[in-house]
Amino acid sequence: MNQWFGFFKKEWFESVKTYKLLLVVVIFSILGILNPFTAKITPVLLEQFMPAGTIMDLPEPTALDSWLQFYKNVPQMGLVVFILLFSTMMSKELEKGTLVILLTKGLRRSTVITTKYMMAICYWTLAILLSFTITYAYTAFYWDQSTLQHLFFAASCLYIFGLLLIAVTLWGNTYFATPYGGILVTFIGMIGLFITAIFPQSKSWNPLELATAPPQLLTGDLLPADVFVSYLLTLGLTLVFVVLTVVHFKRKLV
Amino acid sequence: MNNDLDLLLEYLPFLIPLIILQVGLAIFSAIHVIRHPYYRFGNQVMWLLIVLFIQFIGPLVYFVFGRGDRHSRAN
Repeated sequence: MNQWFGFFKKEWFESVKTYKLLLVVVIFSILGILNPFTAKITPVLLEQFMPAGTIMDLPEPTALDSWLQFYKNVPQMGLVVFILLFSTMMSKELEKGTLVILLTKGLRRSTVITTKYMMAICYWTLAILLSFTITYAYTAFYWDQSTLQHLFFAASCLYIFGLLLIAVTLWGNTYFATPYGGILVTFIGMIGLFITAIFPQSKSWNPLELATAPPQLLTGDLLPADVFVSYLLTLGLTLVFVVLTVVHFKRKLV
Repeated sequence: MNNDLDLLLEYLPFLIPLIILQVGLAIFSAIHVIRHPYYRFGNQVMWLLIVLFIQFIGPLVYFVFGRGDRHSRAN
């Protein structure tokens, strides 16, 4: 366990030194502010660009609009940014051969994978917390949020989906040992999920549902029980991918 | 004109942090590009343009893929 925390600490310092902390904090703060901002400014902008004399009945933006922006921006922009940031987790070490010394000194291979995954989880938690809190604060300030349902559960869906994507990236990155391997595998995985989402029957279990369902959860069209299976499946798949990575890395020539 | 100013004032709580964060990140990355002239690929002018004009994706790409260190200047 001591070894684990030692390596975890090393990972933490490395991520700070490579400006990951800075980038995550700045980018997810920007995303957090952008959500209520876009929701609030869109009707005004539309009004300005309409030719004079056009009478348009634009509804006032509500808290729901702000959260819709959150569930549009964070899964798209936020996740892409995050995956890019953490797509070189393993390949960097494997390319430079920096792990060889540590491994010959007796560092367990499973420790390497679990600490790296744990580090990514910590960063993802920070990222989601940051943009969620900022959007929440602005939305609470400008609008009434009492009509929204399952606000926190909806956010947790997105969080869990992120965990799965990070696990897939880590696996791809370890398996192919190139910076682009992880991104490519995640990309292909996403396409696969989208293709399965074409079939309506998959709606009850598709992990992608966790990224697309939150708006309906907020309005109350869906209940947490409806995404329960995808929720569990996503958690299970995450575990499977982490275990796969550990098993593969144990046999890998470093 | 007065109307525009009111509009600006109304959105100031959003604009101030947004501008600080985006400009701050761009300037920080630009300084880094200039002070560490070692890149995995590309040259200084290219990275400066990317970092300054592509908002927040530019600095990200620079720090993750473009930033090289002194010892691995092979290419």
